[in-house]
Amino acid sequence: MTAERRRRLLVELLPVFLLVALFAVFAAVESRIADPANLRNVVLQATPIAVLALGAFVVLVSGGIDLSTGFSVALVAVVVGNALVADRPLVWAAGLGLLVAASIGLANGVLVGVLRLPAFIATLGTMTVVQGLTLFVATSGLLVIDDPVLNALGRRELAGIPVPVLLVVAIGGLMWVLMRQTRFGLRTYAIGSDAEKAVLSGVSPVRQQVLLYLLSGIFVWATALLLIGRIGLVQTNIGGVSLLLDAIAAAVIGGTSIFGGRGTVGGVLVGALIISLLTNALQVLGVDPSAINLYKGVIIIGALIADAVLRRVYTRTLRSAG
Amino acid sequence: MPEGAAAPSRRGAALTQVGEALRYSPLLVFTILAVVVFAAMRPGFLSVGGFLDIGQQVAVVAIVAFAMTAVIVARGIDISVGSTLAVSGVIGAQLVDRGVPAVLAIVVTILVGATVGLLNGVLIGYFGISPLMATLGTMALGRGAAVAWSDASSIPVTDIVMLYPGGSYVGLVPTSVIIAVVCMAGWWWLLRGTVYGRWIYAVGGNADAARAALVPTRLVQLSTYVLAGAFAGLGAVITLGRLGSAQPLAGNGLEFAAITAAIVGGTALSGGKGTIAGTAMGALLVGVISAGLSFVQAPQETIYVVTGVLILLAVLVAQRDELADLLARLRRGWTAGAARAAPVTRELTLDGVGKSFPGVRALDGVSFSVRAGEVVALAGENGAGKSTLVKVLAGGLEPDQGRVLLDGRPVRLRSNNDSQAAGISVIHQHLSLVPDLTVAENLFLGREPRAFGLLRRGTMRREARRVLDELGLRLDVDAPAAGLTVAERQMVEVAKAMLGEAWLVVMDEPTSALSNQEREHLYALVQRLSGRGVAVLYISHRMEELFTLADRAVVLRDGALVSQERMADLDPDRLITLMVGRQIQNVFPHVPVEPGEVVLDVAGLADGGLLVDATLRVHAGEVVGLAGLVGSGRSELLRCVAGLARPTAGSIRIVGAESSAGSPNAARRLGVAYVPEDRHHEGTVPLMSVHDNLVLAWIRGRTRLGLLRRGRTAALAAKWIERLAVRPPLPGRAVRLLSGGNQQKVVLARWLATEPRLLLLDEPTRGIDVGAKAEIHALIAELKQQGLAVVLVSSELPELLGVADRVVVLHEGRTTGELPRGASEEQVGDLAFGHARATTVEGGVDR
Repeated sequence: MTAERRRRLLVELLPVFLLVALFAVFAAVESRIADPANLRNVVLQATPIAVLALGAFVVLVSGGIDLSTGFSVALVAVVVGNALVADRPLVWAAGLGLLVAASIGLANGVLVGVLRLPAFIATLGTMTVVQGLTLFVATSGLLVIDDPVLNALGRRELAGIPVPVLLVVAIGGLMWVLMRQTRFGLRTYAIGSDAEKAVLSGVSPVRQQVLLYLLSGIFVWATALLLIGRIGLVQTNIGGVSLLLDAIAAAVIGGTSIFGGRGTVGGVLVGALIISLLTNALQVLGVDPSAINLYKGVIIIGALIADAVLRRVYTRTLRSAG
Repeated sequence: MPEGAAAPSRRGAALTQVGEALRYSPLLVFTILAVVVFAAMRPGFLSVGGFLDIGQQVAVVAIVAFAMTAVIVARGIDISVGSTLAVSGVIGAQLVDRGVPAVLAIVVTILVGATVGLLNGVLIGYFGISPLMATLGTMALGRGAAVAWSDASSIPVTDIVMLYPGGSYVGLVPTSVIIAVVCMAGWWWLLRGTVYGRWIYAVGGNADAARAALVPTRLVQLSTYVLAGAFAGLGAVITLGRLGSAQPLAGNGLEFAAITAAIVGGTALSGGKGTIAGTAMGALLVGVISAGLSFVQAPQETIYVVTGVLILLAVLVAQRDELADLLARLRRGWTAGAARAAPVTRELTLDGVGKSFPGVRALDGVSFSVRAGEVVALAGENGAGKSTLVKVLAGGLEPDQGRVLLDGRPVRLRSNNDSQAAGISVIHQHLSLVPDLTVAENLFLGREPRAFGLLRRGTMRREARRVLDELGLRLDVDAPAAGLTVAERQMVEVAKAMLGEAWLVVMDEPTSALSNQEREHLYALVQRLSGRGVAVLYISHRMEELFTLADRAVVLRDGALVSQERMADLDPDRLITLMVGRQIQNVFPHVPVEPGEVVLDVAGLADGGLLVDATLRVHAGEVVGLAGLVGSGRSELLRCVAGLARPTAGSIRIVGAESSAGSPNAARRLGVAYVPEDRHHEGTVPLMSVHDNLVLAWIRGRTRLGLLRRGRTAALAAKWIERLAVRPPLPGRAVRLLSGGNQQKVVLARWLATEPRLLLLDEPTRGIDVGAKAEIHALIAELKQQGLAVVLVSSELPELLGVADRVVVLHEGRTTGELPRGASEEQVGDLAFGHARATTVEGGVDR
């Protein structure tokens, strides 16, 4: 049993090895990447990805997927930005944003949980609707936001550590408790692992899924606030498909199974660091911005292959040992 | 008479086609509705020009959606098609720009698409990366390449030939529409009329079964992605013609449009289901809406919102069965109320319980009762109503007649929770443990102990250990359930019932997957349960254990209770007669046949795992039984011979020819047929019809140019359906609707149709009823007389000894001995346990 547990631990640590290996390669190619100031940047850029990826993680663990989150971040950011520009207090603006984000999450939850639509197609539908709504509410092109609280959230430091990093650590800790130490978490893993069998044990997938997508919506809200705080500008192209892909890629590279039932909070955070390191390294290396996606694609595919090969080696040792 | 036999199936096919057409009617209504709305807004929409405009816009979506249908049917997804379209368009345009002849450029454009598809296929088929992730990667890659190689600007194209496919008209009709229609016809034919098409459905429906049935699964998966890429390339050529230039951002959102078209048209994301006609309708709807919105010059935000809402609506309507089901659930939910009764001496009574399904009276006025502390055997053939009765007790079905009484008071069992509240726990044939959760987590799933909202994991572990100890089980409570053996999982289920304080445990075929040793363990557990005052309702096809365990038998036949007797007053022959309603004599018809040449000669075989050194020789006209405990390498030996596993040492000779390792198809060519152990896992493709399942192995290598000849396959299917008496004898019926015994017959027939010389049967009668068992035994005897060599693996020793001419015994991967016909169970047991003394199983009807 201990040998098996050691092997399981090894698989859980795969993302960490990948992060270290990538870092070593990049640092060897270009020393500026290993510069402390740059590394700080990598960590900072990882924060919004990490928050959104934690939301994606919960949904993936349940065996679903939420494609609407990327564009929902934009919608929520525009709603909050509009309210702030109209001189509403922050509580009012943030509350309105939370209402919008939670409504989208609730809609997804009802479509997937109650109406039993496939998650992929349901959230694809809401994604399209959200894109439209964003254009409706975005009346002016660019909003400049200067709210002291949001600025503190995005740019301040506490004891030398950037606030967004502290926030991510706090949210990560909360998520660990939620997913590992509560009934909600256990049941989420259960329906993702095998929904039919979970039902036989008396778990209601309807209730669970509605709550899950609602939670995903709340993570959208947190990501939007963090982004506004960090950038100070709101545009309709904040978030969108690239942020969604980054978040899902972070969760999956961090070991979350796309088929549900498996994944850890730590893995997701490491995954977010990997994605952020990739983007940053390509920028530092002076890759033409228009070609960044090309290289990112190559590297993500490379990482996926490495992951698949390592997993295969692992299952082979498991089989010959057992 | 092949013609006569094929006629009803053809009529059946026609009927299903009408059914399919009706299924898409809401789509058609939606499409017409959309056209009417747009026409009301702008009358010009209904003009010829308007229609052509729609056609042109639909064409690209449709062309890609057809290929996407194949990808999704094969249980994949490709979200890179939009990027693929962009990158191949950019390359094509640049080639023309540099003076490459347009025809060559068109070919290269399509090839570039196919290459991206190949990359997807390799990642998914060979590296096992999930389709969503892999194509997400190529999506980023393709878009990046398109932007980088075009310097983020559009590349104008002026070459007339290059622009022809997308920019010209034939008469009044755009060439692109003609291309789309040709593609539709081609795909329709490919999916329905070719072997490749059947393979796509088989891979999506059950990849393991497809592999066992000679389908080259990886190649099929890979090819669907290559085709999707190639058709995205064709889409790029048409887009070039429409726009007059290559755009780095072309095809943005195309993947979603294509997937939506396929899904709206009835393709299931879970694989194995979908049609080209449906996708065509879906593409039309999606295209009409987007074309219509741009025609009426709606602002972009409206386009987004309307498209999104319509996608959701259309999918909802396409799933209206589920909606009806939902309404039913809601109604039940509102009237639900838990029925709790104070426990005194617990007794459950069924009083005239009946349940009908369309065309079948599954239960008919069944009355009996079960009291705490007794073990009651529920006996009956498959289809006698046992499963329905179990579902009634589990709260999954409500009877439409009679009452269920708990301690004399009527209760309604309307859900799993009602049933649990009544103290009833059902241990299902397909176990209910969640694979990724640990033993402790599984035990408490659904009734988790909590403090301040947090799980009490310490309590869960402690309690789990306590109840496992109490039941005499040594298991790690932190091990994931996926790693447990079937026997261990069964024990955990029992432990779960104990934790839920059930007083009545229903066990449905609990030992069908257990070895002799594990069975003994379960028997002890059942006795311990009844000693603690728990009642057990025990369902099994094994006579020996019913007589060992039960105090009383309740016998069902055709939904009605035929008898209720004390076990002491019964003997196995009489019980079987009660169950079947007729006398089954001579349970194992054995006919001595003079063995012919050596068909299978296995020497020193090892597979690097369970199999260490196995030797086996089988002659024509001989049935050799392979005995051994679970894990002794019996199944592994068969899988090596069948080409499904690769040996690491030793040799396999089939009729004198050395068998090349690890290829099911090579083994088939030598005349090997393998009926796998688990028919759900490697046997049937449940969504496919009896006909398609039956001919699945036969069609490989027996068709000209990969074309299906429906007449021949229908005749073949009809012949085997009749020969094995598959019931109901409908070739068009989906296999999942058949009973276990009939599903097994279909798998058997699939292999007999390949006209094998060597038949490998791994547990061919597990979990099927007495009647079907007898039929399969008779069939084995008949095949033997025809000169077939048969290897039979069975955990039921009486069956093995009764059917086989010789028994070869394996112990820990080594052949430990061979016994002639007439050997006793003890002799087999001695060899199977190595040096340990065999445990004897008492009773046994078949000796």
